[in-house]
Amino acid sequence: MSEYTDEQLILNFQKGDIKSFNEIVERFKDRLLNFVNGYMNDYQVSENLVQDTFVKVYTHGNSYKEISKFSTWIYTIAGNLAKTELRKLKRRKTYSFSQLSNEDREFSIDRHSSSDSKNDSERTHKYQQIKKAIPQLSEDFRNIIILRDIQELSYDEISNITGLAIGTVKSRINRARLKLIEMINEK
Amino acid sequence: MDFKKFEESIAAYIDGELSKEDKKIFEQKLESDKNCMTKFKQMVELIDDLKKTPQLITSSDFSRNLQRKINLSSKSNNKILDQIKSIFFESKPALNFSLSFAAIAVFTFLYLNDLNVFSPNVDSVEFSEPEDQNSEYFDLELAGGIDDEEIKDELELVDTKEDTVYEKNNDFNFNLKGLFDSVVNQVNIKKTFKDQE
Repeated sequence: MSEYTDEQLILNFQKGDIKSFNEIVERFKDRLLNFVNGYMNDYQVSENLVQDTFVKVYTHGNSYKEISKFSTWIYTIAGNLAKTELRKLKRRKTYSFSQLSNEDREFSIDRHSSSDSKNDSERTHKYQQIKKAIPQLSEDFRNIIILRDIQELSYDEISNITGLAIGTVKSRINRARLKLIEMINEK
Repeated sequence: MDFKKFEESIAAYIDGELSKEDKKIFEQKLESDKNCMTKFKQMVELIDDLKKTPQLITSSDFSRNLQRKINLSSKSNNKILDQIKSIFFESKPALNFSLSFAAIAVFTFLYLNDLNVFSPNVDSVEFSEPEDQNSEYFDLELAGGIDDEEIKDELELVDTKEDTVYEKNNDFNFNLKGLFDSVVNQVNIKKTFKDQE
């Protein structure tokens, strides 16, 4: 990884440097996957949407202006694609979070559990509980928890990505955490 | 500070956003209330665990699939560009001429339309009141100065006109009748000749 900032990379790409684009992909692919999965709760669909996000960056890279942070821009693209896809799915009525079987949930949540190298079984158990509880949060809480506590974005960035006022983001993150604690305690 | 208010303030306390006074009240509640202490500890632990929770990672063929999608997208974009180019730059002279002519025709139509050639401004057209043909007669009668003779003449004039029309119609009817009669006569004559033979 180079020492370029995200903004420098996209500017380089706008000038035709494909290597900069590849580096953007490397930096953001996993973060975006977890973010989009917060909406979709489906690994394969989420990965496809992340790819579509990068295709948009590739084809519309010139429309990025240095007014906002690049991360905000790319998260917004991914979020919009996820919301559109979610609307399509809901319209078709072939899919909803509540309709997913427990097996489906296990699959998407535990997909990488084998790579979990934690030796402390208690901690591992705790992570499992958290991973199971997150998809059961409402969409609003889920995304904010992912953006703030997992991806460690600033309140400003989250506000820009979600379109919510900073005050709303702050109160929502607190409520989301409380809800998550409640859900873990129930089990 | 009650328990609910305490809960609502946890995030602000952790982010260091409480005022000095509120911070003091929060900490007093934390030390004095066991439930508050438990909740606070759970919250801090959760935030720590969330940061360490293993995350999903993209599959090994992610980059290859992305490359394929980008290539497809570029191809389709190029195809659209080529189609536009072929329409405007590589088409046959006859087609170019037709397109240009159509464009000029549309432009001219719109231009003339704007000049009210096809749709004149309604406000500029003056509508006259429909003339009452009997108004003059009634005016004169009210004034008490009209002769019966004059009315007769007028009525006769109207009658004459109607007669003319009637006669013309009669002429037409007559001519049709005459034509029909002559055809019937011809047929009868031929029939008579046949019978004689």
